[in-house]
Order: sequence, then C-alpha cells, then structure tokens
Amino acid sequence: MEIKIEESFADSIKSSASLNTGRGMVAYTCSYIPEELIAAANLIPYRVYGNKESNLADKYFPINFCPYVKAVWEEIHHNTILDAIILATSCDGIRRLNDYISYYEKELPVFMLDIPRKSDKDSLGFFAHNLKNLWIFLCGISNVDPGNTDIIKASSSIINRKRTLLKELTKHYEADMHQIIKNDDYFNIINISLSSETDTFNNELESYIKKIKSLKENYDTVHNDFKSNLKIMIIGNYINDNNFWSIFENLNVKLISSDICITYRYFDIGLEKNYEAPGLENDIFTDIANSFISKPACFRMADIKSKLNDIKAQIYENNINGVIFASLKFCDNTLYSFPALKNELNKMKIPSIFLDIEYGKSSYGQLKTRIEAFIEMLNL
Amino acid sequence: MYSCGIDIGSVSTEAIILKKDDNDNFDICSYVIGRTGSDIKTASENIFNDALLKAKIKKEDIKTIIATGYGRKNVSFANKNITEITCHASGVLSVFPDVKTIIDIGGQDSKVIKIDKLTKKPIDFLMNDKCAAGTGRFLEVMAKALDIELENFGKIFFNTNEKIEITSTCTVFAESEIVSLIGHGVDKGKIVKGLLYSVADRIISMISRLGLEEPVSLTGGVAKNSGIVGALEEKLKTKLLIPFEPQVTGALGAAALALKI
Amino acid sequence: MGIVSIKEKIIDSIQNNLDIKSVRKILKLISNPIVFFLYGLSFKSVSDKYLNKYSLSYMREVYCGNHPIAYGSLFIPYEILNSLNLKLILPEVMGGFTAGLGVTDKTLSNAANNWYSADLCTFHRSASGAANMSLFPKPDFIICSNLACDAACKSFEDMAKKFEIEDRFYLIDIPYENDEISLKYLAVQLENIYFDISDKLKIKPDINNLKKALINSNKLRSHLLEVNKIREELFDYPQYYNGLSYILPLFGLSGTSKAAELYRIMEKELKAKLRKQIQPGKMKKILWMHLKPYYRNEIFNILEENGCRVVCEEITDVFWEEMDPEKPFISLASKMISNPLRGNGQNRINTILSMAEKYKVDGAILFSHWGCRQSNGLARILKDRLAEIKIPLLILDGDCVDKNNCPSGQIKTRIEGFTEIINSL
Ligand SMILES: Nc1ncnc2c1ncn2[C@@H]1O[C@H](COP(=O)(O)OP(=O)(O)O)[C@@H](O)[C@H]1O
Ligand code: SF4
Ligand SMILES: [Mg+2]
Repeated sequence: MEIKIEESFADSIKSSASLNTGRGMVAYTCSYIPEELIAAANLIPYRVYGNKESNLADKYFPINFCPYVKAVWEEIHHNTILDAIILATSCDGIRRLNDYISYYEKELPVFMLDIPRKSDKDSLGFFAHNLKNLWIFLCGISNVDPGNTDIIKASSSIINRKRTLLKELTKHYEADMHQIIKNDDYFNIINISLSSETDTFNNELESYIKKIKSLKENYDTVHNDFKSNLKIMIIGNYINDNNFWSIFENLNVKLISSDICITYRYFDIGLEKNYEAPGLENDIFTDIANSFISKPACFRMADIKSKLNDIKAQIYENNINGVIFASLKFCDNTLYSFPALKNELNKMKIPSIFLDIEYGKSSYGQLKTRIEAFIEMLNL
Repeated sequence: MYSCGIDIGSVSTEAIILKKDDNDNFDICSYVIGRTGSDIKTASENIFNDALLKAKIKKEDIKTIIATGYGRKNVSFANKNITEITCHASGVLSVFPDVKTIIDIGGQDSKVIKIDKLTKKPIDFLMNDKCAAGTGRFLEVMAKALDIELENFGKIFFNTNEKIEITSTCTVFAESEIVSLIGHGVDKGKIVKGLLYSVADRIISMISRLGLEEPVSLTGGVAKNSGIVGALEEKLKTKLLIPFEPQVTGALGAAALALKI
Repeated sequence: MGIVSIKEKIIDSIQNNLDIKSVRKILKLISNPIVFFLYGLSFKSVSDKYLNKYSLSYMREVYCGNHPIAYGSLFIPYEILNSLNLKLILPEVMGGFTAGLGVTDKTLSNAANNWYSADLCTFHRSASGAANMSLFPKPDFIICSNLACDAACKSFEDMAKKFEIEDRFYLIDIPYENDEISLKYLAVQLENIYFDISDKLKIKPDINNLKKALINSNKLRSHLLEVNKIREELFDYPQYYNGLSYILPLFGLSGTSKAAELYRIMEKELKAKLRKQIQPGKMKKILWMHLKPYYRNEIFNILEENGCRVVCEEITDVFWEEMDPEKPFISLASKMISNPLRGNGQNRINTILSMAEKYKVDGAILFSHWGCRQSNGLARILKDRLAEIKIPLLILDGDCVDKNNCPSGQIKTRIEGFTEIINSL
C-alpha cells in the first residue's frame, strides 16, 4: 500500500497556497531566521521556495549568480500576498537580493537579519540584539505589542513540536530499509513543512507517522523487495528541488544524515539553556540566539575544521557508503569548502561526487546519469 | 548464450551481440553503428534488428539486453539499463584488463573514469558540465566553421608544426574567434592544431583532478580523430590504448555486463 | 641589454622554474644597485617609479625570511598589522602578481586540480594555486574579513588549514548596519586580534606604535584627498599613471610612513602637472568601478585612443573620516564600517553617484570581474541609477587575473562601441 503525500498533507498544502486562515504571510530565506518570531507575531512563516520557471531575473542579475536568489526575486516580483520578507546576511547574493527588493519592489517591507559568523559571547549578544530588532519589525507588520514576549514562548513550543516531529520522521525514514517512505516523499514532506500553517502540518505529520509505523510492522515480515542497503550522505546548501529529488525516487539507496539547509540544519534545534551568560541580556532573544548559533552549522557559519570533523563522525557512525556534494551553482561559501572536504573524503576512501544544481534549470538528464553511475559504482 | 548491448548516444547508436562459451569467454557475433537521429525508438529498433541479421540469430536467442547511453530509458525491449559510465568501464576492461584511466569523448559529453587497480572497478569519475567545449559536437561546429572535414583533422595535426592559441573556452566564443582568425588570413592548419590542443586541455583538467594513472584508454567517436589522440598523447606523455572500434565500447560493455546477469 | 628585455628574460625564467627559490633569486637580481637603477628608469611617472621600486624592496623583505608574514584580505585594518611589523601578502596582490608574471595558467590549473570550481573569483583561485605551489612565503598569520565579499573568508580559511595555522586564523565579522552596537561589535574584534597576535608574536603590545600607524594613515588620507581634488580638474596625466595600480600601498601598507610618503609624492607630481596644464583638454571623463586586469592589456590605451580617460576610480575614494589615534580600535572599526562595499548596496551607489557628480564624468565603466558576486550583483541598479543622472554605464565583462576569460577582441569592440556613444553625447 502506498501513502500519497498530496492526500496525507492536503490541508497543509492548502494552508500555504491560499490565505483562508486570515493571517498574514511573511517569507524568509534562511534556516538561521527563527520561524517562532514570525509565528509569534501572528504571521505565517513561509520559507520562500522561489519561482524556478520564468526568466525575468536574468534581466536583473548576472548570468553567474545564485539561482536561488534569482528564483526568489522572480517569485517576489509576482507574489502579491506577502506581507513582508525576512532576509539574512548569509552571503553576497542575498545582500544583493535585499538591494533589488528595496529598489524595485518598494512596497514590500524587507528586514535584513544580521547573523554573525562566529559563536563567541560577543557574537551571541550581537545576534540577540538583531533578533530583538527583527521582533520589533514583525510586530509593526501585524500590530502586535512588542513588549509581550510571552507569546514568543508559546509560538516556540508549536514550532518545536514541528521540529521534534520532523526529527521523528527522519528517524523512521533513515531506519526504513523498505522504502515505505520513498526518498522523494521524505523531501517533499519537509518542503511542505517549510511553508504551511504549523499546527495543521503538525497534526497531519503526526498521523502520517502513525500510518508509517503500522505499515512498517506488517512490512517487516511480509516483503523484502528492497535489496540495496547503500547509504548516501548528501552535503550541500539549499537543495530544495523536487526535480532533483525525483531522480532518487526509484533508486535503491537511502539518503542518510543529509547535511543540507532543509534537513538537520533546519530542524535539529534544541532550545535548552546551556550557556553562561555574564554580560548578556537574560531574555528570550538571547535564548533563541544561542540555540540557533549552536544548531548544526552550514558552510557559512562553521569553521571548516569542525565541520569536517562533524561530517567524518556522521560517516563513521552511520556507515555511509558514498557522499554526494550538491551545491547550488555560484554559491561561494559552499564551493570554497569543497576542496577541503574532497581531500578529507579521499583520505577516508569514501567515494564522492560533486554536483552543480541550477535550481530548476539544471539539465536533470545529465544529473540523473551522474547519480546513477555513482550508485552503480558503489554497488559494483 | 547470447547477449546484446545497445548504446543510444547523442550522435550515434550502436548495438553489439556477444556469445559466451562454456569457459566464460565471449566472442563478438556482430556489431552495428548508426545515427541516433530524432527518433530514438526507431533508431534503436532498426539497429538491433540489423545486429540480429548480421549475427544470423533471432531475438528469442538473446538472453539479456542492456541499454546504455543518454537514451537508455527509451529502449522498450531492453531488460535493464545501466549508465554509460559503468558500461564504458566494463567495455574497456574487457579489451584492456589493466587500464586504470578511461577517457570517453562522445558527441555531447566527455568523461574520465578512474579504475581501481586491485578491484578493477570504477572508483571515481568526472563528466563535463553543460558546456559543449571538449566534446565531439564542439569539434563538429569548429570543422564546419573552418570548412574542413573532421576526418582530416588528424592529418593536419601531424603535418603542422605551429599552433595558434585558442583562448576562448566557450563554443560560441571559440567559433567567433576562429571566424576572425580566418578573416585575418591565419593558416587553417595552425587553427586546427590550436583547437585540438584546447580540447585536450579540457580533458586533461578533468584527468588532473582524479590523478593520472597509466595505462590510459580513449573511447567514443572522438577517439577516431587521430588529431585528438595525438594532442592528448603529447600532453599526457603516454600512449593511449584505443579499442578496436572505439565508438562501440559502451555497447560492448553493456553486452558484457548482460552476460553476467 | 635594455631594461625591457631584462624584464622579459626575468619573466621567462619565472614561468619556467616556478618556485619560491626562483622568485627569491630574481628579486635579489633586480635589487642589484645598477639593475635597480635601470628598473627605475623604465617608469615615466615619479609616483609609479616610487611605487614600483618600493614594492620591489618590500617584496624582498617579504621573501627574505626574517620577518613574520601575514596573509590578509583587502579591507582589513592593515594599520594594526603594520604596527606589529608583519610583512603582508594580499590575495589581490598575489593574483595581480601572478597575472603580471603570466603564470596564472599554472596557478589556476593547480587550483582546479584541487577542486576549486571555475565559478569562483580568480584572485582567490590564483592565490590558492600560488600558495599550493609555494610561490609565496608561508604565512604566520592569516587575517580576513567578509568586507567586501564572502570569498576571502572561505578561501583563506582553507589556506589556514593547509598551512596548519588554524589557531592563527582570524575572521573579522563585518556587521551589516552602521550603528553604535555594530561599531562596538567590530571594535572589540579588532582589539582582540591586536592583542592575540602580539601574544603569539611574544611581544609586549606597544600601543604607541599603533598610534603612530594611525597618524601615518591619516597623512596618507590627507594627501589622497588632495590628489583626488587635483584629479577633478586634471587632464594632463603622467604617462601610464593609473590609480588602480596602488592597491598595495593604499590598503596593505596603510599605516606605514612609506605609503604616506608615496601619496605625498603623488600629490606633488599631480599638482605640478595641473599647474602646467594650459587649458582643460577635450577628453571625456570616465569613472571606473571595481579593479582592472593585472596582465598586459590594451583597455586604457583603447580608451585614450578614443578620447576617453579614467579620472577617478571607486577604489581610490576617501570614504573614511580622519582617525583619532587616541581611540585606535573604534577609529579603525569606523573606517571599515564606512567602506561603501559593506552592507547595503545603497552605500556603494551613493558613493558612485557623488563621485560621478564631483568629477563631472561623462560615462562610467564597471569592470565585471568574473565570479565577483558582490560587485556584479549590483550592476543593474547602478546602471539604472546612473541613467537617472544621464551617465551611461558600460558593464565590461572580463577577468582581472585570467586573460583567457577576457577575449581582447570582444573587449575592444565593446569599449569602442561605448566611446562612440559617449562622444556623441
Ligand atoms: N571518423 C571520425 N573522425 C573524426 N571524428 C569522428 C569520427 N566519427 C565520429 N567522430 C566524432 O565522434 C563524435 C560522436 O561520438 P559518439 O561516441 O558517437 O557520441 P555519442 O555517444 O554521444 O553518440 C562526433 O561528434 C565526432 O566529433
Ligand atoms: S574581485 Fe570580488 S569576489 Fe574577488 S576578492 Fe574582490 S570583491 Fe571578492
Ligand atoms: Mg556513445
């Protein structure tokens, strides 16, 4: 029996497409932007997906420019239901996106969240300060009293439930060697989680996980058609491209411990207070700043040495057979990190492959050939 | 026992039929090379039928058919499809068992495959990006711009001493660079030589990333271009092993893999 | 043997024996008093001569092995590093140096073999290749910031890892906003770096040296202000003078007395030229954005031949206030924060627009260096904003380091097309 994602998550999908909830919608671009602040201001957080189809952005941006930035620009240009957009100082590309929105889309309020590149005490305090400014900005959009920070706590607990459920989903997905949760389904669910009303999504995900569990109990004894136990780790940046995931649809592999912007880096966020705070404000913003700065780091944030150590640990712990390094094209922060990673993987004798993703405009045929060949190579 | 490999490339489609004896050795019964054209289905059926005819056997005699190449998913009568990377490796190794580096240059893409010396299996590979530079198509476009038959590139390469540096790495720019060189009355032979070196450089940059290990084999239609062979051998400082009919290597590998199923 | 053929010979020899020893040998050879004298004669402009002779002796110091070496990215506060007597190497200088010597084919392919993507900025790719090939002395420290771009942080971090000096790698995190808190956040980082490096050098930090560096830097600033004022009216430039050639002294050597002296000489030279200038020329004035190619190229000659001259460069604008030597860290932080390439693109646009008006330029050229996201990303808005004040902008696609990515025929056609437009205005 197959569980259809579109059916299981019908309400979530609806909640992102139309605004029948009566709440405003605020787009954001980066996993370091805390959704709880947006939701606490009574707005729906929407991790902007981007319009991958049209070519308007090519008139504005250079040819060798981040395809995600271009796709977001394209979407912003056509999207009329957004109340604001939150960007982060993730990279030069997003800095320029802010310039373009401020200049060509003047009606859309935009906030640039400055995220420090370091995690020492000063950076933490600086980040907390910036988060507070973001909160004030959001309250201005939805006429909420910024003094009322208790609502942030409430909102955090809803978002945290989503994070916990996504972690649970991941646990089932990674342990499931029968492809009850298909590779592309798993990533589709995460994609839905990025842009839907959180409560609705949480409920649907909860019942989906229940269904999976019961299916699994029956499956283990009856079927055993999934032959390969190949475990692949995907490392990269914002790889959120259904065309890309559909390449994996019928491949006998598992994508384990993926290190990209929409997996652990998105939902493995603990909100426990585990920092010493002399000289820091003892408030919710410092708490959030701390948990975001200590979540699994991306290539912009991490120092390369500890990032490589983390990856190594994941590979050994999960018996990973091969690594796919997938980067959105022209992403400097990611591309500069690959040489060191490749070198390390070679030393570990872990086969790896480098893929450029053009986010909707890739030549998927060629990507498919490369991925299939890579898997054939691991299987031989 | 018979098997068949079919390789549907961007330019050419090949079919090859193998027969295995009791000692696990195989013989080539027949092979056919044709153009792919716009209709993959018809091309693959026609070429398969031609190969059957030449081998004087019937479809039912064949146990397994494996399709490869960029059109591999569109061969309805194949039992399985495998990528051209794995098939080229298998094809080359069945002819030259000790090869450690394989270069395949086809119509729309070029690849370098590294073979593990102990396991004799592919351990790493690289493919060109979207851009056509360093592929057979690039050479075809340039041949047209120069008004010289591709088949003559080899002769020209060995008969010309000097070269003109072609700096543009992109097909479109290179074409206009060549047009302007011709306009300035530059000797076409030198341009051809420059072009061949520039394609060789592209390939070599892929090889250097994987690390060159000898022996090296060259396959694909472009291996028939002795100019490329010359340029690569000169720059790599090694002799290239070229299978008897380099264009069918992919199909050969597919058929060889089919025998193992 | 003429000086030109000596130069050729030297370059030839470097290209064929690429390693640090050969570079050292050559530097020694040129520093021979007679050769050094002849070398000086090959420059037509006094400031160029001073620059080149000084750069050469600086390079010798860098290579001699007696001084601690730091690699640093373009806009970090070099006053601090110079006050600590570090000898400095910038990727822009490495990239420029390798391009000037014509060895970038080798450095770039070395980087490519090490999996540096061809989509990345060639300054950093070439620098990485050069570092791999040991063309430059090994660094004791690496200091970088994300001003103006992301590239420096990441490529330098990779170098620090290769040289195994991760504990001597400093990242200066540049805030996006320009406010009190951001300024303080930055100043504290600078202060920490200053004391940490002193510590690792095992020297007692002498804040007086740092103050002196700020005073020198202020001198440079005031000369540069004068130079820029002169250039508002000057048409009769010294031959081959180009503000874009002064990256090393303007940034890397700021805080040294030599750099201040260079700008004093430049001021004097240009002032004299202005005095002798009989009447304003008919040349059209061009504003130049981003950097220029550092290999042999014809761009500026083509402009001259077509009646256009670069009269100001974005990079030589004095964007910062005079610094207070008594408050070195806040002052230096404030200098960094005033950099128009930091933060919102509006900062850069405002600077460009005000330069365009101040110098009364007829046109602008943005040299669109391949892979430079921060600069090229803003091109479209710059074009629109300049169009509002009726200044045409040429976005000139090319590469500062890799000549193969900069087809000369195309460059020529584009520049000529652009000058035709300007001359018809
Ligand atoms: N006789 C020949 N001489 C020179 N080049 C040839 C010859 N035959 C084929 N080629 C080259 O081979 C290319 C096609 O290679 P092929 O391996 O058939 O490509 P694909 O696998 O993509 O169909 C052509 O683009 C052409 O450059
Ligand atoms: S050219 Fe651009 S990308 Fe390269 S170092 Fe300079 S600012 Fe950074
Ligand atoms: Mg083929």
